[in-house]
Amino acid sequence: MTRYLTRRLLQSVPLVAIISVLSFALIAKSPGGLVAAYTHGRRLTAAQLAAIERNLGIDKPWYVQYWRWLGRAVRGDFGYSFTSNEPVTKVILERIPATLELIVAAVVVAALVALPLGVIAAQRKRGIFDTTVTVGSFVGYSMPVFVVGYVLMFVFSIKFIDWFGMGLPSGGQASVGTDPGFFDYLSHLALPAATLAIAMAAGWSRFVRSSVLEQMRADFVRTARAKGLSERAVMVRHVLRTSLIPVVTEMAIEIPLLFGGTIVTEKVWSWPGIGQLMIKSLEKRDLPVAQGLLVLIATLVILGNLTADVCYAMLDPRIRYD
Amino acid sequence: MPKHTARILVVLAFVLAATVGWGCQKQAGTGGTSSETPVKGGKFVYGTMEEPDTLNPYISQLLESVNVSNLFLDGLTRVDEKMKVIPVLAEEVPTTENGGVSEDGKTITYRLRKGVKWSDGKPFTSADVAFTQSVMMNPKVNVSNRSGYDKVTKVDTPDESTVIFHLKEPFAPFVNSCFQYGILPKHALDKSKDLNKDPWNRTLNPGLGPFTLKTWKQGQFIEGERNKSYYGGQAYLDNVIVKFVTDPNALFAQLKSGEIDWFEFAPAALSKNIKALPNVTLHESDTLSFENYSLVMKPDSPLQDVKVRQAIAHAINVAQIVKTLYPGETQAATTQHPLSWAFNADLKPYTYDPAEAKKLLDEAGWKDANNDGIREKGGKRLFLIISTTAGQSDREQKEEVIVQDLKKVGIGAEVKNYDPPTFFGAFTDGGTLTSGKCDIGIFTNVAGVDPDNWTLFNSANIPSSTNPGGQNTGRINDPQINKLTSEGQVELDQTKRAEIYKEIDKIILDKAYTVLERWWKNYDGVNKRVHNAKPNPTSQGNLWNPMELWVSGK
Repeated sequence: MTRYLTRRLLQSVPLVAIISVLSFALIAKSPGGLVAAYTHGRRLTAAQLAAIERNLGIDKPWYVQYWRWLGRAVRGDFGYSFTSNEPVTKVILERIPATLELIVAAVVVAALVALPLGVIAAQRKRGIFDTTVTVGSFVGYSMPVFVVGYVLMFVFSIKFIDWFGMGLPSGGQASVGTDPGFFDYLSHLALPAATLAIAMAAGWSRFVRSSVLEQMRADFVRTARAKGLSERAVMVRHVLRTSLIPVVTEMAIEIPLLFGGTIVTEKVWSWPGIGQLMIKSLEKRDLPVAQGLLVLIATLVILGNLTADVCYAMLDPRIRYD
Repeated sequence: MPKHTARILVVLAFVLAATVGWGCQKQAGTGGTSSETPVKGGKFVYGTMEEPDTLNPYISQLLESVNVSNLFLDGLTRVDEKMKVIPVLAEEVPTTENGGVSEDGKTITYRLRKGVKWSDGKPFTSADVAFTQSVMMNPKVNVSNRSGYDKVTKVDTPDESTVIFHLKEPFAPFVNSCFQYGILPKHALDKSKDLNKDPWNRTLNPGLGPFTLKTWKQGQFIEGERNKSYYGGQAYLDNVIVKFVTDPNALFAQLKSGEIDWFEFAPAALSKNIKALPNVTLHESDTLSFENYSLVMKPDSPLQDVKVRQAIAHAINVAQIVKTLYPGETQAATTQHPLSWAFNADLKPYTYDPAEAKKLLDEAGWKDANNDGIREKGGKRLFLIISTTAGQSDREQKEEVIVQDLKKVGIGAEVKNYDPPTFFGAFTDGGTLTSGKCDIGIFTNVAGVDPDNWTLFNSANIPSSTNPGGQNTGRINDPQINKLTSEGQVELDQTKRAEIYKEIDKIILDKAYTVLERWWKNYDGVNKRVHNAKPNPTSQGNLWNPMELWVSGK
């Protein structure tokens, strides 16, 4: 296992390196250039513009810039934001807790909803419950995230005020200007987490359902039943354990992707996380921040895939890495 | 298993009930202005979509930074909501009458208020002003606009409350456009290793404004509290919070719930809904931004011909576009704002007249010989590319109208949009406007408080490899305009300057160098509990008068 892990981790290094070159080149060479913010509606002379390019270190060809960036990055220095002039590491680290909070909440909610729904739907295949879950999950899965967000906002934030005189917060991580308590945080989290969780839960419940169905037909389940085990024991100890393997894989792959995938949710709900930072840095052509984020997300995705493989080995007695 | 499910559902229901019950935002009272006597105390929450990148107003790329910095810093002068320049740290606005501006226009003297202190107790002096000027011209600092400051050859500070600027040539816009943003504290910054990255840019402490910055939570809010030692007295408000909400619908919801007191720059489409809120006043205010369909006159372009340009101006039904997309707003005929002293009231926009457009195109020699609906001349088709910033539905809608209108008179057109950095990018980076990748560019220009428009219309500012950021993207190269835009900068007599800019606008209209659409309106939704909300049309921003703001019914 250790050898396997070492090998996989070593393989990841060139992969991250290749991704970092590509993303750097893409941003640096994007049309409009990196000083677009200084050219529109400004009254800078050519010399003043050139001085700004020199100050930002973007007067050299992109590969020279990349080489410089790499030299510093391996030592943990990811440079300074072009817009806020703060260290990239600080800018990104500040945003991680908010995104983590959102992802953890959404994953927990989605799992709590998807697992029982999927299992029950599988048990009552083609019944009313199953049909309802199937239709519901297709709707949830195919609705774009911003539509889900706006529907929730319209009903729970805006219309609730008319109906009940109060509504759920429509944006931000907590109330401003006061010391927010636990329930304040929770109420702010409710709708953004629901927005993110709906599509996830919809997808996962389908996954759970088909996985459980497949296992219920397996030979060892028939054997278990033949041994006289109770239906409950069969489901929990035999069917669920094995049918969770693909589900866990799916989750482990999806969760790191979420770091980049919360963009729309964060934008709709003014959530101060990684997603917002990502849009802003790309909009403003803030190369150091965008590059830092892309490398971070790439690393997380690679680690997520590795975690999935490791989880496989732990859950499935047939899989061993030596 | 169903038992488990039931248990989980109960827990979920409980959590939901808990959040709904305890965490909800109550709808704020409908306000009511029982007394007009200002009340001290309370907090005020200003909601905006844009978070400042840095609070140093000179190096920021965003107008929101200037707006927020008004809370924590004062300039020598400031522009009020009527576009009038008023004194702040200066005792009076320098003019030729009061001797602040010399006869030859090359010496400008500011007399400063005495006894003013920074928030750390150090005195504010003329040295701070001279230091600010030196920062403006420091090539190591990424200042985004040096116009005016770059005319200064020498700064004299004969005593602590006098600053004298010596200019290399008269520059009439100087007083109207310089030192309206905060003065920088010399004692805190003159030893800074890198002013772009100095921590002061994010705290503005020591500062010199009615408020001092308490917290800046990234992506969430900036909070200021009353500066008790402010030279101008104490502000009414205890706290001002600028909250960053990235979605306009969420801003609307929070204005309704009373979580925010001010919804800055609401989209026109939401203005009706805001107006209907019982607890809110909708402020419709003028801005200095005009939307135009800029005709990009590349060397070999058919747009070089004045008749083709006039034909386009007659062919597009601008009045209809304004009426449909921006009800209540009016069509523009000038590049100077109707509120400006340089506004030419005699000019009228082009009428929608397809027959006239066809006639002009015929005269210019563009005929549809092969009957495919598009005119040709010398083997070349009259086909134009229309571009704007992608993702803005109103602009995309008007592009469709323009394509149809042009088609009716025999001009072919195609829409190609780009993201803003590409659209506005530098010549050397292939920017759409600067490198002339489109024939009609739809965008907004911002007029200054001073009518000076040399950068927009003088041919010295046509973008090129040596001037990659040139703002004359329409490539106007008109000897008369060149002469007038230069004269306007050195003429000191305001009446004569007004004539100059009126003439420029007349030429632009007559020769159809651009098709003017409208002056933008700003829509600000303000809770009725807020008093003295006076949205400002200039780059000074809505928070230009923080001393006057007060709230009733906390």
